[in-house]
Amino acid sequence: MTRKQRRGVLIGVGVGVLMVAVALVLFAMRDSIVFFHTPSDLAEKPIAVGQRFRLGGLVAADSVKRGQGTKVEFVVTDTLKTVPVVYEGVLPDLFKEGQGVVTEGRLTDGGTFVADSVLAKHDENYMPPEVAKALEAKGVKLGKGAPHPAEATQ
Amino acid sequence: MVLWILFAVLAAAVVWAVTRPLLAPAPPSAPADDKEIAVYRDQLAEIEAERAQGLLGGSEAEGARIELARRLIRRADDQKGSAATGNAGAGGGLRGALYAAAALPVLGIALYLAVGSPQLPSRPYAARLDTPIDQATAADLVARVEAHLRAHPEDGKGWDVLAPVYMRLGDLQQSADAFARSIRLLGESPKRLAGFARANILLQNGVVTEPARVAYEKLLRLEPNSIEPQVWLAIAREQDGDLKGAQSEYQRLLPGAEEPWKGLLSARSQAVGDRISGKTPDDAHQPNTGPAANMSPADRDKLIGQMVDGLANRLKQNGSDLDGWMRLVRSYVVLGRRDDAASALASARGQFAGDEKSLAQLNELAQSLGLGS
Amino acid sequence: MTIELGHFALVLALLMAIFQMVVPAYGARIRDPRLMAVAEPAALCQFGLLLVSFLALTIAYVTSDFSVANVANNSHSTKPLLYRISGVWGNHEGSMVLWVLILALFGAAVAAFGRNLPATLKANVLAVQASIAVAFILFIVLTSNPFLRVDPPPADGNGLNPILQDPALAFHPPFLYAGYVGFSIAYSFAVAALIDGRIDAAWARWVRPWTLAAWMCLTIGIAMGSWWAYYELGWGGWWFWDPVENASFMPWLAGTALLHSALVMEKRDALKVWTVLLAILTFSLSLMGTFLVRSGILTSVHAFAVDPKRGVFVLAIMTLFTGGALALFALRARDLRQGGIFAPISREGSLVLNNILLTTACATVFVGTLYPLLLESLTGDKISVGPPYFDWTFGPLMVPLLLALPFGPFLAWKRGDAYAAAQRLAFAAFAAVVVMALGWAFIHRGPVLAPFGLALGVFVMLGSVSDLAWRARFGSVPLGEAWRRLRGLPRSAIGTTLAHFGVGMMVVGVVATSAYREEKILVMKPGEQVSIHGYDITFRGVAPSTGPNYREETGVFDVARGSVPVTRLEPGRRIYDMPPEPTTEAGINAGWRGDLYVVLGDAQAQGGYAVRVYFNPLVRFIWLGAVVMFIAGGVSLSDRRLRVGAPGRAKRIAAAPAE
Repeated sequence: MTRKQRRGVLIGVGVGVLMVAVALVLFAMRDSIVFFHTPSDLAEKPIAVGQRFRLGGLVAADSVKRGQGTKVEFVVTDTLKTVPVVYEGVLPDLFKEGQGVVTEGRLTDGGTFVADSVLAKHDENYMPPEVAKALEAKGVKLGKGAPHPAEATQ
Repeated sequence: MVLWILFAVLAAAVVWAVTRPLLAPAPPSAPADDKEIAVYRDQLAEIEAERAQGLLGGSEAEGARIELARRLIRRADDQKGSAATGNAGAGGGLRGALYAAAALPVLGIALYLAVGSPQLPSRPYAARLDTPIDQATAADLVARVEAHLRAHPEDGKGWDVLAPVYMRLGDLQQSADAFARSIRLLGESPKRLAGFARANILLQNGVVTEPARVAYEKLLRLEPNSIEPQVWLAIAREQDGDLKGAQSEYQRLLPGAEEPWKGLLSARSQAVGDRISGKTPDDAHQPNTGPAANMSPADRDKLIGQMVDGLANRLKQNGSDLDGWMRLVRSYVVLGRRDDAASALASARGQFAGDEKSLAQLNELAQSLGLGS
Repeated sequence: MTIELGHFALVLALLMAIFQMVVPAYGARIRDPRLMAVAEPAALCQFGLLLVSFLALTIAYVTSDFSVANVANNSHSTKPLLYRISGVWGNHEGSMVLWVLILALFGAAVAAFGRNLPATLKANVLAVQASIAVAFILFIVLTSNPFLRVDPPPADGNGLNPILQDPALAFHPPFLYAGYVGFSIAYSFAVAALIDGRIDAAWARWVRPWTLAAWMCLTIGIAMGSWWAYYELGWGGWWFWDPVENASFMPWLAGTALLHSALVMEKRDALKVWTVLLAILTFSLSLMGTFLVRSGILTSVHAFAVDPKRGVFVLAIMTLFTGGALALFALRARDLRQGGIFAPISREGSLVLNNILLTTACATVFVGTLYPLLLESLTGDKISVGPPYFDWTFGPLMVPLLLALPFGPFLAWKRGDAYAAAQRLAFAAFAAVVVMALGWAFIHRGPVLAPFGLALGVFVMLGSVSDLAWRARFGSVPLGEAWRRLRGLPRSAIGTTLAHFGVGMMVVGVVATSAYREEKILVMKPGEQVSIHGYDITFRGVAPSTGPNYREETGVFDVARGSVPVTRLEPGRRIYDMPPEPTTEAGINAGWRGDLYVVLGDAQAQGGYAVRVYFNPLVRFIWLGAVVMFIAGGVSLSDRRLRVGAPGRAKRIAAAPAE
């Protein structure tokens, strides 16, 4: 083999691997990315039943009902619209009424969101940025400590 | 003074270290690249060793050796080319480097003075607990009592002293906790019960929580004529949705009430009356009292924010209002905007520079709010 | 007073770094040995000053000096000593001081141990290293100064986030930073070589030990973070493909590729352009990791500093250093002479394949991490890319890498014999096939591909051992002779085997845990029992307890196998005093076959507690694999040939009288 041919083999392998990777990325991107919405988004632009997405907002006050076993019901609100959520499992430590939350799951026919994972905010000063931004966009004023997008321009 | 001596020692040490090679006689520069050749020589030795171990075949080892030799020769050629450019114009560079080294401490001190606080001593926690009482700040004293209570958590007197102090410092959670402990250890007294209930209510933004309600009921049994528990129990009724019961309580209490209860009662009575007659929808009600009652939290925050900003703007134009400054600082602290509070305090201090009396008042305020200077 | 001394030292370190950046570089340009010689003491001084600074801050934390704003915001007088110390880097400002301290430490190490470096290269390397220090110390002084004071001091501090009060997390950042920052040396060497305009095998030999040291630290740092997440977050997961985790994983992948390509460069003088590019990219990815974490633009459980202004500053630093180096690279890369040639089937060829697969894998992680940010800034759509994406992209790329891995060491340089290599791997392949067959025959749950994954791990483990066995001629010479030969092998060969063995262990652990994990979530009342993987777990009840700075509800669970008691697990739910935050403490019974993992949940209205019980088979292999890789790096580093400063030392002594 000449030097050129050898280099050709190497480049061929490299390009091949890269093409496989691109194909995998495109395939995986189609199936495994999840969109994030707030209750108001759902009111404006309904989402198909069974479509997987993330629902974020605040846990509405007095809405948490612990049912039989480990089933929990609560309401996620962005203070404009609300969505009832059902979750089976143990809630994270920092899950509290009036605090930010992100849940992932699907809508059912009745308009209830069945979540299979619940992420609560991480500490007193932390609000999931997507929740904070989405709420700000809706004109909801947040308490102290919530990251304020306006600060980015100051 | 010791600090400045330490600074000087540190600066002198580093300047000495970096100027040493500059002042030394120039070392011969040629053998520097021997080091590279040493690497190749080492690699040759490795090839030998691997061949001895049988890891490398005879012809492979020969090939590797030839390759290395070729690299060595190429290296030597490169060197010949570059050796010509040695040591040109070194004098100017050397002088420049010496000046730069000498400038290090001067620039360092200048930069440090811009950002540092040389006048402030260290304040280790343990030492603060030992400072004489007359020199200690409020925070020091709190720290001291806290340290004592950590060692003796059953000392009810300590909690009793600390609870109202926490309340004044705005630390409501700690205050409620301390009141609860002093009640448990020393028994119920009107002062402790009222303090506990207040701290709880303030903590919940005006909602009369169950513990607070229970505390007021006990207080009422101890002092049947006290108005404070009666007012709050009535508000608790309103918050529970018993509007009629609340209204009749408000009406009963109103005639005998004095300020501040009077204003509060008439405002609540008015609001409840409106709700009973259906003027305001039920869900718009807010448990809070004061000027911002009957607003959603968002609106209220906005209103308060506007008021504070208005005050700030006014003071920016006319800064001679000491009370205004103090109110502004306090409002910022209440709103949790401590950075704004600190900068407002700084502006106020600038405004009243030279005015010892006003400065003393500002300092006192800063201390009571736990703000830095 | 100490704190002010620390502040002054920090400022002086900034000036010293500027001095170190300018003078030696100018000296290298005009070839003035005295100006170049300044680099050495300057690097040592810079490190010394930063050390003073760091110690002053540490003293402030240890003595709880709340007149320092940073201490007041992040510490508390009741915190145990260990967490008062780790609190220094448990916050943004302090962690940046640690960052530059480690940066300066690496610079000082080059100055102190790099006596075998040519003077101009050394001067340039230290100058480039200093330029990174200038940028980051400036960042600290301007946006994140931990030495600012509060007067009068508050009564007590705000405390450290309790989730960070943990032994593993106390030491996770120093290792992680040592890894991130260690790659700065490779970067500085690359840029210095580009400035100098020449680069060769000797260069690779100088760079490799530094890269290896950084890689070791990063490996163990990432493993610690994963271990911490496993037992502290209470979900039993060990890797979440969280953006902040990815931020540390990308430099690791690139750094692993760099280690291998530098080997080709050293031995064969080939892949020069690629290696230099990889050195630049690896450190750029480290900078990007810093940027992603520090800017707070990510949703993550790990990001504790959220400040856009700082983000912009770090972004500027990142752009400057990546962009600058790449521009220099574009300008000079053509001048780099190509070296030795080799056949596709050869040691070089296998290392190239390793590089292609690792960098591609790194690129897929990069896309998955940054695509959501890009999409949001372009269209406003908010998406999250979860584990399935990484399973589908990263996973398939690892399969060929692991299949090819054991072949590499068996192939000769220049031209290898794949058939002979396959013969030598026959035993490992046979064992792997047996494992796969047993898996399909006896395990009836989990994904169909899981036994294949296990077999792959076993193949890598045994395949790497085969290399050592073959070199020592086990089986073909008497045992004593083979042992003697084994001991005579270079340590770097043993290191290679160990590291690859560690990779195999990790694969086995990952596959077993992911595929065969058992999980039960239920409500338990005292006296009730649950069974999982042959363990009977009886819930005895919940007892309150108190720690130095928290109160805890401790659940008591008795674990037995049949009638034989095994252990008692005590998972808890803690509420810390300051700040008042809850944390979950998992009860874990670790064993070779797997971990029993019990978490106490909320008290239920109808009585009883929510309880989660997991069995994570072979999960320890994941971290043990990382530890083995770390040790392997240490073994390689101790090889005389790689040891910093070793080549030529004996000769210099011999030559001394002649000078």
